[in-house]
Amino acid sequence: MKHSIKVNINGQLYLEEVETSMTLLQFIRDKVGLTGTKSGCENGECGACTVIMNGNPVRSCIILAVEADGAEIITVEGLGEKDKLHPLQQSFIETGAAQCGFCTPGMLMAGKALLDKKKNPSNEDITEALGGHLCRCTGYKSISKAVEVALSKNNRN
Amino acid sequence: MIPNVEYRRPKTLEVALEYMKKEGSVALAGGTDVVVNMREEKLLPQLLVDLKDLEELKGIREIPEGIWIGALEPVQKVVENPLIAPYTALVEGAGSIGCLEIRYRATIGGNICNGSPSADSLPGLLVYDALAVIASDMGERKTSLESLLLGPGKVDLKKGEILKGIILPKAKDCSKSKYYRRTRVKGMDLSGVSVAVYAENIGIEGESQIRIALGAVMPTVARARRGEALLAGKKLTDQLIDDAIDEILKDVNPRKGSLRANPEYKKKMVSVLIKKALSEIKGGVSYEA
Repeated sequence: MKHSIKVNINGQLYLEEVETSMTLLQFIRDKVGLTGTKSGCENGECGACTVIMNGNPVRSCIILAVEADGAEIITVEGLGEKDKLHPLQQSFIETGAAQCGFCTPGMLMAGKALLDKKKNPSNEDITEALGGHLCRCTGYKSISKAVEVALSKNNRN
Repeated sequence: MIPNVEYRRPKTLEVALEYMKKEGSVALAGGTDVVVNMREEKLLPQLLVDLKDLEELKGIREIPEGIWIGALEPVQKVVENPLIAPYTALVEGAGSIGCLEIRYRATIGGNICNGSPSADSLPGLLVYDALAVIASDMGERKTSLESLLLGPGKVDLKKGEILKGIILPKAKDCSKSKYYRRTRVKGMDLSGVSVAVYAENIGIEGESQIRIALGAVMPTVARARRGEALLAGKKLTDQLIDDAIDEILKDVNPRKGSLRANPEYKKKMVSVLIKKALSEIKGGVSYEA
């Protein structure tokens, strides 16, 4: 069954026809062509496909594209500007939080959602925000450190 | 692969109820179970009825009977709502579901209707005697939430019925509750065993009332009423608690072959977690959940 949907991704409006079977993740990657969002477990468990939907971090692999009709979505491509990295991206580089990089877009979006929601997140908040994300390289420490660093920069600005 | 099924997103409850009468219709809320189950071909709907536009299924507010929670409310909204804060076992249980991204999407109604024996929101709801409000084209019916739970994956919703929301009776000032669970890993795991304990006037003779609900040790989340009856109105001694737990374990028969925990471990943990919760409620040491 085909549906016309209207989705705002990173400030740009996309009008597309999708089938019920298409996930939001497939829509973002295959229809729109934004491949920063990664496809990991495709089961909602690993966090690689995390995007921000109407202000909340969500797993795009277990949301149907048709469910996202009318939604505002931010993907990792919407984080920085062309010549200026987002503070989170910068701090991920500085702390060595990206190794193979596959989990990084999901981690960044979880981090962004946290910084958007809470001015002064605690360490527990950071752990909770990143808690559903798998990373097989870093051991997680450098990632939560990166979010802390970005937070302290945010508060200085 | 997710099948390319028919999908409708009705704007009114009336239309939604019509769709839900159709053969092969499945209600879709947050989709954190439905979409996963469709992909794994455990669920093969002919028609997906997306409930997300139904205003009647939304909101968390005070009503004369207590607190109304619309079935469509995302779990995280329930966890964060100040009106729900007094219902500790519910906040702790719902707050342990999946991870943050899942809780922003998964709904409280979905956690109920998925009918999992280990659903983390249910023990906390059951110890507060939550009611389910169910809509059909005949009108509304109210029933105890516990009676809605029939078995693994099975809830007592008839064709054409939709869970509209739940009512939490007012939390008494003299009451406290606690939720504990055991998982294999800390994050993103389903409960291997869970316990909610509610107490009012704990240990005061003639007034003490204790309610206990167990998850992942029976075909549904359920209250441990035989143990509750033994504890009612009595001063809590170690002996009495042991006797009550013995009584409770008679009803507990965890299935063999669970991926998460073996029956012996589950039974042992039922005992440990009930004692922990009672001790915490009595003002003893606080344990990490």
